[in-house]
Amino acid sequence: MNEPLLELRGVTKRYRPGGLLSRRKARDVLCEVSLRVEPGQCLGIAGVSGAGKSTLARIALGIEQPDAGQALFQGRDMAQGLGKDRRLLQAVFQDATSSLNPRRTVGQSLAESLQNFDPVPKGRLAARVGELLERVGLAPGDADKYPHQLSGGEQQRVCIARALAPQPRLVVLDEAVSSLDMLIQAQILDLLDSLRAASHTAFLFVTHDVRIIPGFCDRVAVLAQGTLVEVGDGSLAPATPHEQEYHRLRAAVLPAAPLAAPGAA
Amino acid sequence: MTPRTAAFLRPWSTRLALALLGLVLGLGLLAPLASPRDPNLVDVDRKFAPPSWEEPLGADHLGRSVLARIVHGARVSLLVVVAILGLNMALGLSLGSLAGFAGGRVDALLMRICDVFLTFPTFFLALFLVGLLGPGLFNVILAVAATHWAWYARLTRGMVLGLKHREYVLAARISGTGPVRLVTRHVLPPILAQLLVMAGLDVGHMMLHVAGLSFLGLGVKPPTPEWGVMISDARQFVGSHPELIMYPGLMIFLTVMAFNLLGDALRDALDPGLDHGH
Amino acid sequence: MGTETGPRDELAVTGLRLRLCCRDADLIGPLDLHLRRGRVLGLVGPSGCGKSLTCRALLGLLPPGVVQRSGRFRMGEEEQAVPPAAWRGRKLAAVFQNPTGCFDPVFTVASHFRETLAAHGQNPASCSDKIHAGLREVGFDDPRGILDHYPFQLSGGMLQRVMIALALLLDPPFLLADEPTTDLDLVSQARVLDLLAELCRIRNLGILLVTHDLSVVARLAHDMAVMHQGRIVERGEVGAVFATAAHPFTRGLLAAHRRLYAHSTAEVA
Repeated sequence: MNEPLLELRGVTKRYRPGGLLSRRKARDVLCEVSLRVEPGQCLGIAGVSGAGKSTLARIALGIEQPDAGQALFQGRDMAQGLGKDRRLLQAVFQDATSSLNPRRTVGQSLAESLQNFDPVPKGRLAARVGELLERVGLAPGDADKYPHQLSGGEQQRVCIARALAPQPRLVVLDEAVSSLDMLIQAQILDLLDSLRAASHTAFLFVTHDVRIIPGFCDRVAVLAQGTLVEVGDGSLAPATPHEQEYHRLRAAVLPAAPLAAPGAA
Repeated sequence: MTPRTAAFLRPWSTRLALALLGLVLGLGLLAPLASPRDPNLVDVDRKFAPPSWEEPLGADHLGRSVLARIVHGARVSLLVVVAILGLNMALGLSLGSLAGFAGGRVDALLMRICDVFLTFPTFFLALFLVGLLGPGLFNVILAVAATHWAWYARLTRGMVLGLKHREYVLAARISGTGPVRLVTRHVLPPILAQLLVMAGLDVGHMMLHVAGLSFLGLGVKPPTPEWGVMISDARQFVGSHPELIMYPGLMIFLTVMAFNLLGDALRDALDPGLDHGH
Repeated sequence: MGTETGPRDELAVTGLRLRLCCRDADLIGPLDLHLRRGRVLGLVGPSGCGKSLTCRALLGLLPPGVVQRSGRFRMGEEEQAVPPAAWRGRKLAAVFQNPTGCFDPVFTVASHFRETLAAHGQNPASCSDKIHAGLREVGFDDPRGILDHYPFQLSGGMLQRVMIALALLLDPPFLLADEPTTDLDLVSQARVLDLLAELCRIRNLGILLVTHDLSVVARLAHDMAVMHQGRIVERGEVGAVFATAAHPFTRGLLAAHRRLYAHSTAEVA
């Protein structure tokens, strides 16, 4: 069996109660979470808000360390830092606007990501930035624009381009389409699908929107009360608590087409 | 010229402020040319000489050329302000970012020190420090800087706290940007912009402090031409020769106003533009 | 569902045109909308198509720089060129996308109710029964407990339900819901939509549901209007539009919608 790209082993993360007035006790946000992502695979993580999805994403990215357990990327513990492998593990976040430095042009942001790992000669840089922009469906001329001159969907495309620049093997998508409108969501998902097909990049797709998961992911895991369990495709009768949670989430998905009697409860 | 510079220069108030500052700066730089007379040359025969072709602003109670003293005073006043500003920026930026990035106890300690400086009325603190250090140009600079740096440190620390968790800083980290570039590219620029805005609004305040200390005889030592000293000298004759107090007063007023207008313009130019779009 | 409606029970906007001052082209319009009591009208369109601006025009709260070039607003017998301030809250209430931002975090839920009542010249002390009833109506079994909470102690879904109770405090016949569930997670979203459906039926409320999400419209709305670049390009009963959309933009929207579902909802009832 080949080595998994990303593996979490019994990861636990707890937060101390915050603030002076807080009466909350320290609680486990993640409790003994284990998962594996194989090369080229797409694993969907579903959960309601507050289930610990973002914490999980940050640990999977190696920017936060678990309190117990291990987070391994290509078999190496990320607690020791990723070093050169940083380029292989990239991310796209929910809020594209705040993920881009408002003072830097699109081209500068992309160039930064390109230059960090292998210096591109000055003459080639503009061309490389242009190629990247074209890969995500933008025009090379957009490189001179500032983020605020782009729409939300275009900004998210720039973020995707930035994540693709170092040719990663795994991209963590933390609610990457959730704050976009429906039309743009569909476009971005198509874009991600085609990129995955073209470059064999694996995705860890973290979302609350379970309607997207079956069409986009190979496997689904449900995060509930800090624990993570992989569930099937939801076609069997739910037995375990996580399957029930998934069923509950799926049941909350709105109908794709109008019901016979609209508005009826 | 970039569109942002054009937008910055559009309001007439900005252009007025720049013109005034240019004038004061020019006067200071070209002081020996603009007024060939020695500002400290005492000539009792010319005591309170009225304005004339040779002496457009007349002479003061010791027969010194008022124009020469005003022009040379611009040098001293601007130099003092620039020195104080530099100190404030350096102290504020370094201690503020140290507190913001280090957090924890370092942060708590530095911020309590800031609080101590912030709780004193600034002028009395400056008076106290000058009293402690003794009068003199250098000590005035130290004293006024000491009363102002805490504001800069506070602002810097607050912005560092906000920025270090901003998603674009995180995103840059993930795309492999090293810590030095992270700070110089993503964290410092917005902070510098804010500090500049604050400095523009603060300079007038500092000039008044320096002039005030000089007026009280604690700042620049009397023969040196400085606007606060000139006001202090002229106040004894305010009944018979009110114009002697008016000239340096007018210069302080114009310079302070120019800096304030410039501060406003900087705020408008650097603050909103990027975040709200056009 | 065949409740008889006449002009008395209608909020009608005709010939609305909005323009950015000193520009030549209209941002919005000409645009007509007819909202009837007891029915939900879904206004659908992508971001930037002018949905929110239309809402603000209905509330008479246009942002600075936007001018209304023409348009009539008719509520029952009363016709106005600009919606008067007296309509807001009493005749047309509104809930918005971000419930957290609509509450002042330093005041309890109760003081938000008191303020709303006071702003409309009612004595808050004598209305506590009404407040309690309103909160029960939106699904809080212990209204007293909720009133003592601060906004940040409640989840987004709960806050949105409190917001709805606040909006309906003065019994308005019409409710404007601008992306009411977009910031909520799926489970809260379903609950809020169920609630709106129930309120529409029980209170005979006319709801203008503004959203980019066709599934929200599919769930809740009776009629829909598709907005594109400031104009309504398609309107009709929801079922009919889903089945036989004519305008290419609507077709594109429906295709994107089906793409999101891919093979996910086949077995979900």
